[in-house]
Formats: sequence, structure tokens, C-alpha cells
Amino acid sequence: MNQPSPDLAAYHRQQAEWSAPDPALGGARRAALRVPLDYRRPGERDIEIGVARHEATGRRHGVLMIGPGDDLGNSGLSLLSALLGSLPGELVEAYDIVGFDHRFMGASTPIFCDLEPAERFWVFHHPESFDAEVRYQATVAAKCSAGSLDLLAHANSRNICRDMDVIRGVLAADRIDYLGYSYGTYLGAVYGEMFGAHLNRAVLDAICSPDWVWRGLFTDFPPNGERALNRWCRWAATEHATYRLGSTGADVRARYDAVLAAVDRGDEVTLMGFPLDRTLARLIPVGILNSEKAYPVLADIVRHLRTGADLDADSVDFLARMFGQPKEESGTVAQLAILAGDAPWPRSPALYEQDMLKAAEEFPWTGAALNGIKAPAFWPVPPAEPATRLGTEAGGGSYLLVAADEDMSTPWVAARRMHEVLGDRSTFVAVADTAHHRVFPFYGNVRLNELVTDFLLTGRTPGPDHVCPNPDRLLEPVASGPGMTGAGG
Amino acid sequence: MSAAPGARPVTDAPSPAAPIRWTQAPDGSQRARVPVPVDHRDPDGPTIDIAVARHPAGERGVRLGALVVAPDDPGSSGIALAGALVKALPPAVTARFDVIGFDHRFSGESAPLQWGLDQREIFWVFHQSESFAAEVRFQAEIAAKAAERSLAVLPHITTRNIARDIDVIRRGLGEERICLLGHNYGSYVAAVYCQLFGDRADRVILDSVLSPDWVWRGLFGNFARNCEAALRRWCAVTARPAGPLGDTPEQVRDAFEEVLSKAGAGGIMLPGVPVPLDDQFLRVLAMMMLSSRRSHPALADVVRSARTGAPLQAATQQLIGSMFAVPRDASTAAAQMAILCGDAAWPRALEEYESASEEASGFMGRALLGVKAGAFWPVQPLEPPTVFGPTGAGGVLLVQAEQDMFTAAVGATQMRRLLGERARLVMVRGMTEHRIFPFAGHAGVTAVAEEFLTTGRLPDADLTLDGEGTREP
Repeated sequence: MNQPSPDLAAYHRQQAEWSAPDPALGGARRAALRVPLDYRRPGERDIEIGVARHEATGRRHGVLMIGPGDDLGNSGLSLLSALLGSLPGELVEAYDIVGFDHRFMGASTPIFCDLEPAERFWVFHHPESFDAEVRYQATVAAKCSAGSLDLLAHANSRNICRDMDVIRGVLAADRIDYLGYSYGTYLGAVYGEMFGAHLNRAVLDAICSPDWVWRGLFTDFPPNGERALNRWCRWAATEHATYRLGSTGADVRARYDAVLAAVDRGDEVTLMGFPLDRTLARLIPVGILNSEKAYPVLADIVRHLRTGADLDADSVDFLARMFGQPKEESGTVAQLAILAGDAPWPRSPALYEQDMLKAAEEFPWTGAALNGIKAPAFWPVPPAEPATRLGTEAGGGSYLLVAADEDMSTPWVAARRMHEVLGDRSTFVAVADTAHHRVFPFYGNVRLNELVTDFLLTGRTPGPDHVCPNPDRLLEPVASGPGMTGAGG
Repeated sequence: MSAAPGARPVTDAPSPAAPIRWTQAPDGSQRARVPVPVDHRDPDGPTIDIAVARHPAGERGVRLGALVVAPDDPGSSGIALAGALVKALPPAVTARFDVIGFDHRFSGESAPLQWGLDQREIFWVFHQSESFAAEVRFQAEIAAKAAERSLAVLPHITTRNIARDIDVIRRGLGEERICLLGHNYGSYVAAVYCQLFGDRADRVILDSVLSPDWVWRGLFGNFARNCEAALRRWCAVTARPAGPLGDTPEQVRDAFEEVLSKAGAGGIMLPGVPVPLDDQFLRVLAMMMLSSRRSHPALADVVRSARTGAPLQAATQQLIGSMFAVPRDASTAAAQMAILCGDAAWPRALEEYESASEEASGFMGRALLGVKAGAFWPVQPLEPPTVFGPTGAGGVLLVQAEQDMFTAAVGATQMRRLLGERARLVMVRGMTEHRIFPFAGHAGVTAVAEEFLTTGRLPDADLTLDGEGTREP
């Protein structure tokens, strides 16, 4: 069962040198593992993968691998550290919990280039004009690939999954359990397809659609973004007495749109003295809307932008967290390389221009940014291999799929699509009336946390299409909305 | 990454390819299709057929071997070139050699590329837009077509692979060694062959020689400077008292620029030419007419006619007609682009092109130094460009006109220096001709080349010949 190909045996047999427990990683021990840069040529050139392991504090049940990054390009080691402070105690007792930074970022042979601050936001970069955007995105691709293509040509999800299997081998685990969020959900699905015999149970939370790889990730966002923004507007209207942003959702939206219009006109609009450009004026709300728990922060910010009123301490903290620890530059580089490296993107500027104009009309908030031309259109190398076909006979592992029905970034329909593709190997759990990206365990839905813990430890699954209600529901559901109920769940 | 074969010893050569089966063509030549692997690292992988033509040696008793002709431009038909050559080569050469031509991989009759390039895109090399941003879009759109239609094969369309195909042809011919003749880009192909398969190369002639330093963005900048220098020479010779364009070179230049801006502002109609000429077309026309002294008067005639509306001289009309008689084919342009953008990686930083085109001078500078499809090429070279040094070839004769506008003489001197002792350079002083042997009919060059091909003897030292002896048409 646990027999790697002879070429890879040496990698699986390597002895990890574990550090002393690192308090910055919740007491996990670090190690650096060697993996082949190119799995078609093992033994030629190696790269390093930074891993960390927190040993089971009680009776050891097995290995729980944490998928790297909640958002692609974010540090898997940071996520491990966050989880060690949040996971139910039974899991920390039972599992060696292992996290890693995926190749080319963080602790794993990171790649740096000299991106300007504004160039780090290429994903949500809001076009000033199509021509200017071509220039901007081509420059990001040129900078990120300059000098590192010998490495970055091997950045893709399949190679990250091969790295995961080396980690598994080094840990001498025949089978692993897995927990992945957002981009990590895709890795969990690909790993099960490639190494199904070595995957026991996997929890995927905040699920990417298998159809997205990867331009679809961008073009699916604008309608979900509008929906999420309008949901916040409805909430802010209920808080009109506090924030004075309007007493209907439409009033609130008009006030936020007025702020955007001012920014887009070039008026000076500052947040805590920091001038907002057309990208940040959208990106900051996007970041906030990933959790309804932060709704008051956005209301406070819009009030501040409109009236100059001081920000609440909570908002200042939130913004400090958001900007105090920007995504590592290597994360931005690796993210681009992977998004471009899993499947080819269209390259025709004319096609993107058409898409941009149409989406800007239809989804004014983020349509132009996300349907317009993107750096992968200029990536200098094609994918090294075809993207993984998920849900084939070759795959293995049993999956628990978790989706918050109002999640903006990974919408409920994307998770349903993954369920459809994985079929009988997956059980679907919806978390109702919840706008939150990554619900387990972070949102604090007790029923969901019990379900997931039980699944990991015993393999027990709830019945098909189980719904966890949200006892702390923030908003009355909108009957006609296209969310869970509307989409046929 | 890939193992680049060096000059390999004869004993280590791959097993001989299946013998080529020839069919008789109506023109007396023979034709065949020779399968070659798309990826030479994977000899058992997918193949394409290379179209090959053979013009058998005229006299059986004196046959020396095969003279393989390399295509003279990326994308251009080597079969057509070989057909033209057998008519022009000295009889002593055609008597002794089978002359072999081929359409290089992914061009002509050898799996040509179909990218759907339109008329403007076909002339991508000389294209310029009203703004840098517009040119970025124009060139990126072409690269997108390449990616959409040919992504899988693009990395394999390189000069080094063309050289490897030549060696497959050599084996199919059953020849231990081959002689080679390459003009312009063909000089580079033949020189690369010598680096990869030196022991298999016997007598090699490189005519109108490209410098390895130009591969390939450098070629564009070099060419822009050569065009401008040629234009200045033309201004100097065209200026004369009471001449139609002025009596000083400056006045002639002003007349040229006036016509160019008129063309840019909406096109000019030349009497007898059915379509209006825009500035891009006019630049290409001027470039072609500047390349040979023989067509210098025609350029003066074009400028005169464009300014005054007076009819073109019959000879000028005829020349323009012959220049554009064969419309440039979209698949030729695609193959040309695949090689020029694929042999070596182009810079990707757009600032580099923007500042180069802003600083560019001369009438071709902005067009040639601006951004090109290579900046958006969807693949990277699988191996570095060829490094040149002495080879195992029997001998290399380089032939170069001192004032060749297309391939500046510095290319030949550079290649001569790199190839070392078994190479000799024949430089023709004052000559503007591109592709000398045998086309220019220069008696001195023909004698040296004929002697070399038939006996293997190179001149004792590099030679400089004067331009006289050129056959006038």
C-alpha cells in the first residue's frame, strides 16, 4: 500500500529534522523536507517544503493534514497556527496535525520579485481603462516570472499534491485525514484523485468549484460579490440608527456607490489618512464581506468615509490586521504561477475586453476587475500537464463537504458542483443563513463543529444534504434569493 | 533540461533512417516526404513530414555528394529556393552535387501553421500603431492566435530542430556527410547544423551571414539602423542640382518624410497602383527598394510621383508589380514568427520596448524596435540558443557584401571569428547585394565558391574582393 515509486522512495525515506516546539506555531515543530522540483525528473533538482507538525496530545488516532492556504498563496503554516488555537480539543488530542506552505511561498523555496505595492492586488485590480489594465497585468506577469521560470514552470496543484504525498511518506502514515479550505479544498480533491489509496477522510470547507480551474474562479465572483454586498446593505439598513447609511438596502447601496464614484472620479477619499484608489475602495469591502461578523466594520468605514467620524476601535483593529500582515510577496508570485499553471487561460485581449465591458455593465462592483484581462493571460509558459479530472474511478477517500449558504467567495453552488463530481464519496453539509468563508471551526456553529469532529474521528456522516441551522442568524433570509433554497438544495 | 547534443562523433550517430523514396516531379526534380519527430527528445513520439526536393547531379561519373540548401528566411520555401538555385549555380557544381531543398518544419508543404493571420498581422515585423498601447494589443492578439492554434508544437519550432531535421534528411539520403549552402537565415541554419553535427558537415557556404548575437530581437534593431543608413546613402546619391527631389540630401530627405506623413495621414494613391499606400506599406516598399542600388532610382520615382501625382515610370511600376506579385502567405508569416519569437526568449517588460521605440531613430526605428509578439509568446525556449565555436565541418566559406542592408557585414565577421581556423571570409567591398552566390553573379566570389565546393579548398586567408564583376541584369 505504502510503496512510492522507486524514484521517489529516497524522498519518502528522508529523515525530517524537527525543530523545538515553535510558540509562534502553537507549539508545532518545524522541519524542511526535500521534494523534486520536477516529478518527471526526481533526483535532478530539489526544492524545500516547510512543514510543521503538532503531535497528538492524547491517544494518537492518526495524521490530519491541513491544506495550505485558505486563500491561494496564503501561508499554510499560519493557517495551522490559527487552527491550533481554534480546533475542538478532541481533534488536537487525537491527531498529529500537520501543515505546510505550498511550493514557492513562505517556508517552501519562496520566490520574490520587486512588485510595487499596487501590483500585489492584481486579482481585484480595478481597470482604469482596458489598455491601462493590459499594461498593468502584463507587467505583473513579467515581474513575477522574471528570473524564476525554471522553478515556476513547476508550480501547479498536481505537483503540490505530489509534495503532500512525500510529506505523508516522511510521516510514515499509510493514510491521512485532511482538512482544507478554499484553494485547499481543490487540493484535497486532487489529492484524492491522484493518491486515493492514501486518503482516508477529508473535510472540505469553503469549496472551489471543479469547473473554475481557474478563470472561472474570477468570472464567477462578480454576481456573488453583488449579492454579498447587497446582503450587507440590507443589514446596514437595520442599523440605520447607528450608522445613518440609509433605512433600506437600496439607500445604503447608493451611499456606498457614491463613495466609489468619488474615488473613481479621482476625488481624494482617505481611510485613516490613507488615500483609497479604485481597487482598494472595492478590495477592503471584499475582505470584510468574507464574514458577516465583520459587517459592523464595513458600516463604520463607510460612515467614516462619508462623514469623517472617527473609526471604532474594532474597525481600527480589523484594518490593522488586514494591512499589518499583507500577504507575503512570495504568496502572490506562487498564486499567479499556480492559477496560470493548472490550465491554460485565453490570451486574446479582444476577448477580455468584451468580457470586461459586459461584466462592468452587469456587475458594476467588481465585474470589470474580475472579468477583464488578468496576469495569467500573459504567463510565459503553458501548463506542464492537463488539469486533473475529478471524480473518476481512480479516486479514493471519503469527503465531508461543508458550505455556508451565503458565502461570497466560494458560493454554495460551487460546493454543490463538487458534490456532484465526487458523487457517492462525498456527503454534503450546508450551514444555513450564514455569510462566512471557512465555517469550521471558525464561525462557531456548534452543531457543525460536532459533525465535522465526529466525521474525522469515527467516519460517521450525517444524512444526505444535512442542514445545520444558524442559531445566531444575523438576517432574515430573503425568500426569493438564489441561495441554498433557491438553488434546489 | 534537455540534453543538447554537441558535435557528436560519427560512430555515435543514430541508426540510419529509412531510405527516402522519391517520386518524379514534372519539373525534372524528385520529391519526397521525410518523417521527423516533432520533439527530437522523443524520437518515438508524434512526427510530421518534411517536404524535400532533390535535383540529381547532372553527371553520374563526377558526382561528389549532396548539397543541402537551407531555407533563406524563416517560413520561406526551401524547395522553391533549391529550384532557383539549380538554375543559377555554376554547371560544375550542379554536375557534381545533388541539390537538396526542403520546406522547414511547420512551413510550406511541411505541416504549415494555420493561425488565421490577417493582412496586417502578416506584416507584424514592420507594424506600428498610433500608440504604444494599441501596438501592445495588436501584437498580443497575434501571440494569442499562436497559442490558440499551435501551443503544443510551438516549443519545437526552432532553428536547432530544423538543423536536427536536416540530419534526419541526411540519414535518409544515405550520406555520411553533406555539403550545405545557406543564405541569410539559411546561413544561421547551416551554422547551427555545423555546431550540432559538425562531423557530418563537409563543405559549407554561409552567404549574407547573420550574427549569432542578433537572435532575434537584436536583428530588429540592427536592421532598423541598416535601413536608416541605406536611406541616407540614397538621399546623398539622389540629391542633384535641379533634381526632382532637391539639390541637397536634406531636401531629398524632407521630400521622403513629406510623402511618408502623407501616407500616414490617409494613404497616397500612386498612378497605376490600385490600392492606396499607407505609411507602413510605404516603409516596406522603401526598405525593399533601398536594399539594392539597382532599385534606388525607383524609390526616387515613387517619391516624385507621390508628391506631384505624375505617373510612375514603367520600370518602377514593373518593379512594384514584381515585388508584390506573390502575396505573402499567412502560414509563411506564422512560421517566421514561431522561429523569431521561439529561438530565444524575448524580454517581457513592456517598459523596455516602450523606451526603445521612444528613443528609436530613423524611418524604420519605431516600427522595428517597438513591442513584438515575442513579448507575449506563450512558450519558452526548451534549450538555450546555440553557442558558436570551431566545428568538425570540413570547411566553412563565408560570403558577404560589405553594404548588405539586410545582413550587415559585422554579422559575417563575427561568425567568421567564432568559427575559427577552418573558416574563411570573402568580403565584397562596396557591394550592397544580399545573397551573392550565385545570384549576384560576382565572378570572383563564384570562382572561390566553385573551387571550394568542387575541391574542398578554401582560400589561404580571408579575402576582400571589390564589387566589380557583378553581372548587371
